[in-house]
Amino acid sequence: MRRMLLLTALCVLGAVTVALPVSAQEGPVVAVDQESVDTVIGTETVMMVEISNSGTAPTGPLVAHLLVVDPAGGGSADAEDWTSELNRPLDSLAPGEAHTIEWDVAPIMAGDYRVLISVVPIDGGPPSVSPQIRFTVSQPDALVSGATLPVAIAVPVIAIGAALVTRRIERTVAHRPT
Amino acid sequence: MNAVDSHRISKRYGERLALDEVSFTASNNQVTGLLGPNGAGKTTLIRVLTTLLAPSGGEFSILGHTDPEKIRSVVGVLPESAGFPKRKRAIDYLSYHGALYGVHWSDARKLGMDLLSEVGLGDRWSDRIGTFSRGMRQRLGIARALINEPPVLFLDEPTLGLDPGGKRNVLDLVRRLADERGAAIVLTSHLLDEIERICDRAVILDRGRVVYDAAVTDRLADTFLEVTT
Amino acid sequence: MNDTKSVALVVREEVRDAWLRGWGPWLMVGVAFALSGVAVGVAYTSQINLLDAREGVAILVRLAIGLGLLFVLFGAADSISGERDRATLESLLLTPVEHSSLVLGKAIAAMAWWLVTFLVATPYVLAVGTGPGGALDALAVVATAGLAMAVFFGFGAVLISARARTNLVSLGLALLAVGVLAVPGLLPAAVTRGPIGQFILRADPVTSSLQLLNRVVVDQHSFASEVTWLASPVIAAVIVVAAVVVGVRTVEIEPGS
Repeated sequence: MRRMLLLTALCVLGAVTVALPVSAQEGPVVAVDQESVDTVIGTETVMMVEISNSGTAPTGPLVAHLLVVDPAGGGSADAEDWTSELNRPLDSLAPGEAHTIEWDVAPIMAGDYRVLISVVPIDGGPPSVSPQIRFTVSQPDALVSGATLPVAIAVPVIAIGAALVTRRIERTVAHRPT
Repeated sequence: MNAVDSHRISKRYGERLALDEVSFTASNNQVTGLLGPNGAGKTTLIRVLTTLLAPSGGEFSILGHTDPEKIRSVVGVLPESAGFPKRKRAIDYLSYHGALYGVHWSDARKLGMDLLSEVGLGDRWSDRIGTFSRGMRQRLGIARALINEPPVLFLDEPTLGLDPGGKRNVLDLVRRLADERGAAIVLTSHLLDEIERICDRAVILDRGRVVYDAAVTDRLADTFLEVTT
Repeated sequence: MNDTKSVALVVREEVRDAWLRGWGPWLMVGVAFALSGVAVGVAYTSQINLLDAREGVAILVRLAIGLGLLFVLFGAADSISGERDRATLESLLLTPVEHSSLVLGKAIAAMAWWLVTFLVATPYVLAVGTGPGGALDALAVVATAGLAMAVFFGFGAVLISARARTNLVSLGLALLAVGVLAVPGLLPAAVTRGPIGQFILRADPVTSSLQLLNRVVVDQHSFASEVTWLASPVIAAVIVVAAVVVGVRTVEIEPGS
């Protein structure tokens, strides 16, 4: 149900964005600093999102929202898993004013995703959507258990040996006649 | 010159006056007994004279020294109910303290061995202190107090908690140290018979005040009885 | 008596007490077993994709630093007040060694706990960190932030120990101080995003060290690019060392009496 709602919202937002040329668009314009990102699971990526007011009137208070789409996976991905701040409230932008926000995201699953930022005026008015950023997320290298296991066995053995040696040294030193 | 010379020493803990203008002296080759019931101020006086506590009033000198660091280098002290590091071996304990007095490690070790023999622990030099009886620990404490070969020795209740045999051993050792080393020894006790047995002179403290300061005579017993009843 | 010589003497004896006569080596055996268990555990869970490999390395590094700091904290907090409780302090204070030398020697000796824990942990960090990369950066975090925190904890705990009447008070206060310093790290991101929040994160040495660890080990930023997070741990360490060297003139046998 949630996925359906999200897809519907995306379609509506996309349709609005396509239907309105940027120059004629009322309200905020959303721009991002990247077109594509190649990353691995868990790695933090900082996106710079610029929201500007190209209209002639103040935008009123805004809310920016992060959207993550997984086309190959049949729709949405859970954006809450990508960031701790799904929504970012913004103050009203005066005509010609722009505001840039940093958005930290860290994908948790491998795949080919599209990330978008939608900006919705709280007091009504048309929403805006950023161009999509293509996120290609790959698996990180696994831990090398081949190196881990010998270390996990050898170090305790060496530590026990060292403890026994120190005990022996203490006895030897203590019993050494003057 | 007296080995210990104290003049009107006072020590106050907040409202409580632990020492009230205490004056007394101690001389070489003598054992001076500080006698008094529990809480009389004996330990406080020893701590003041050994620079662990600053007096609230009065002045004192040890072998003419008034500088705390100098005083600490010429006195040996067995504190009351002294603790010992149980995992250390007797000789290591003495060597370390010798080194803290500036004696080289190897010399401190040799000195420690001699002192252990002197206090009757020569055959236990490499044993851990945790295996020692209370009497043995007290003798080890006396050996530690002697590690800097001090001309002045303060022993605070050295027989506390010992059985009769242990008490006799410690008291004989203290008397011998005064006779053979010529040290000035100040010994505290709350037991009259100990003071009478080995001390040359005695000072009775009662609630922080000196009430007797003279040779050990019959009057000592009478005064002590008055204080404790 | 020469101060440096006195300090060296105290350090030598304290180290021998802990590592020849004491339980130090056997505690390190325990550390080795704990790190082995965690290393194998994170390697396995990473292999089956339940855990990000770099988060696995971070868990190992956090455990190594945490254990090392815990040993330093307990060793240092016990150093003076423990002697006071065991009635062994008086005989030390009666020697001509300056009290400041005793305290400084004990604080330096407490660093041995950190050093040995670091040596034990190093092969684990190298082995586990080899897969996802950044093992040397992770080791750099342990060596720098970990050392700064060890100095801060160790010297700070000795300061507390010198003034605490009992060992329980000393240990309690030391743990409380660490707990308070850990609080900013628990604040929600919305609070720490602003300038005040960022200042708190950077000013608190404990949180700042953890930030450095997360950014380098988990987020795979280079150590050099995040080195500014070391500022408050290093400054805190310098302050407590100065406080011990300059501030402790006399150790009282019964503080506050």
